[in-house]
Amino acid sequence: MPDGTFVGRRFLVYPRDQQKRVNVRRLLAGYGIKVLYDLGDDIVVAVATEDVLRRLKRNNPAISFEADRQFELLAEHA
Amino acid sequence: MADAYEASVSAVDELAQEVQESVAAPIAASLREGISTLLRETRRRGLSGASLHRLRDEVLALPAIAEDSDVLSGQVLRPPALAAAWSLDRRLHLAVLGRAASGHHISASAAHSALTWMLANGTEDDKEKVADLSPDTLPDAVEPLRVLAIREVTAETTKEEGEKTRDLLTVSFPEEPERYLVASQKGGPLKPDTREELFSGLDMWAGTGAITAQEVRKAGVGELDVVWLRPSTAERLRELNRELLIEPDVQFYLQSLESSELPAQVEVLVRDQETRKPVERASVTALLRKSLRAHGGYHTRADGLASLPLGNERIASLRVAAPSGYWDRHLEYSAGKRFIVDLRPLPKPTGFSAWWRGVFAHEGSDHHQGQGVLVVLIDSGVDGSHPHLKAEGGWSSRDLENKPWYEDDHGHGTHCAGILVGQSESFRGIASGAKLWVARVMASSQAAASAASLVESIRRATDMGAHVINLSLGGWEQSTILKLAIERAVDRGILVVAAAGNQGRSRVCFPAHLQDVIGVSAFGQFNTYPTDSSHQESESGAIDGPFFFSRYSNSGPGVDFCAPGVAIISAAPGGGYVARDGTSMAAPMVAGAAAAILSSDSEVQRLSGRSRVAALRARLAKKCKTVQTWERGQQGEGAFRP
Repeated sequence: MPDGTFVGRRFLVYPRDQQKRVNVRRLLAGYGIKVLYDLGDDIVVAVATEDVLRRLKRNNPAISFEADRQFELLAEHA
Repeated sequence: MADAYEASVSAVDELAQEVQESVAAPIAASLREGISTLLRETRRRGLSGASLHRLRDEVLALPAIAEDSDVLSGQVLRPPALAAAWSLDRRLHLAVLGRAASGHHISASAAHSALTWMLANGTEDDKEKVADLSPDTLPDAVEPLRVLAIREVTAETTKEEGEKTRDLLTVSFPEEPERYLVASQKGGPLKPDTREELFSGLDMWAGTGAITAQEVRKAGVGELDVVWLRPSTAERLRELNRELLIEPDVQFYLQSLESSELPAQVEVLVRDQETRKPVERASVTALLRKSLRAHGGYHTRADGLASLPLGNERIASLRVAAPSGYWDRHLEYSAGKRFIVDLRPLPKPTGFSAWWRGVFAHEGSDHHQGQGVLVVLIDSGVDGSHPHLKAEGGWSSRDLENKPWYEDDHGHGTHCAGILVGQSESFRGIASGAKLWVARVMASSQAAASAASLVESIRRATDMGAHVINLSLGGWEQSTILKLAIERAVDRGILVVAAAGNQGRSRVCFPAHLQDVIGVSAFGQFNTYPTDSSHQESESGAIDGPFFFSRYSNSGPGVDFCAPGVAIISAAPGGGYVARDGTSMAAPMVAGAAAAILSSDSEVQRLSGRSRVAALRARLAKKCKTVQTWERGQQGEGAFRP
């Protein structure tokens, strides 16, 4: 496949147990997933496909991930 | 020019609905069904260029169908159909030029076609815009085409010029990755096996630019895959996977273009009721008959006039709102080419006399309420130049590079900040002595924040030692990591306050419904706003003396308190004031009250962690009154009412 081809959505990836340290960045790198940025405590924002993240989680149950969802302002007629 | 194309895809959706309405009424059911199907498909596939082209072709075909029918009259049908087709054409070409102006790759033929169409068929304004386009705003390769297109349309083109155009149309532009939608032939998501097969070969190399969840959502593509591909790659994929739909995800940015749409059929003049002077930049929204759909995006010019490209027989009512300084109005429309709307100035002084302010009077000097308490407002930003607001500092989430926290295009954060810490000779927020920090989590073009930006800001507020966090936002989806970030904040003694939501449902949205969050619903008071303003729409049958539970406020488990949230006058960007409704307005009322309590209650100050949060919650509850006629889910511990 040519360079520059990119597939995916934004996900938040983080340790399932927030008290434990997991090198999420390194795990993602192992699957070719680039981290957009780090939010601290091994919470990262990454772009990937859900399938790949499921595979990653299957092999590394210590991590969790979720789609980067949207939250709206709550004023009327705004 | 690129800014002019920033708006939401929902505007196209509205247009599609409008097209449907304008042609569907006089025609046979089968035709209506055909259009409905087409619109449904178009929406489902994300309103790509291809889909819109199909819609346009369908609309253009209507007069022919009409002439074949005994029932239909071409005269009745043709004008709206042609007008709609013209409008669709214009949007397509504007979108193409908008993409070029914002630095996207467009083909030479697309550029040429868009430029010549605009010059030949666009409005006078369009023609001027194209003629006046600065060469700097277009990619180098497009500029010569623009010059030739102008010659082609406005003058006789020489043979040499014609040849030059042909040469330019064969130019091979460097390929940049573009957004594509990938779906099954039926427009649905790919089956897992198909996806695996298709994408397993694709390079997982990242860094060409991330697609944010909000973009995906805005495009309305649901579970469809959005992929960045070079056009040639997309073409190859299409050849290899003919059972798939792979189409460019062309976005149509329309909102700010509405005022220069079809020749105006209705003009609305907006004036100051007292001085009769025109009111500029007032937004005008028409609610259409039958569907009662809102048709908005029109703004008054310096002469106070807004032009609506709608037949006056279609308008049921108009909602007119100035950016600041006036009550809005929602009034029945009576047919006429020109409709005059007089806006009433907001009362002055605003803050001290506001009905809701006395509810939060607290012991100690009013001037110092909240002193020493750090409140973090996570919102759309705050107008840092507003003379009556003082924010100590702030940040913008990493998604919003170059969007400073001290600018607020929505006005939402500025309004909330006024309720919290506003301070002038005539206006005062509830905790005007508190220190305000602002976290901007929204871009200019959208009224939504990503979970990532919220997690980032909540964690940052926690680490900097905030006492109170206000979240006048929410959604129906859950986020575990956001919940964990809030738990972390509460563990450190931070009170997190959130709005319950405005859908009028008996369910509270996330994160307000969380155990750790103070969820706030909204109520209003009769006769505190003009009867022809939109605030009246908030009235409900749940009445307690002069008060009513707001019709739009969500209720249910998760509501901890009910606070004023109807016709709340507070700060607006630009230095003025405006009245707004929403649980968004009720939440900072409670956040401000908590800051005032924390500032003056030494017992609470001595506590830390969750004990402090629990004590603050209990103190807040003491200030509330249980309203007998309201349900527990509407008010939680009680309402902050006089």
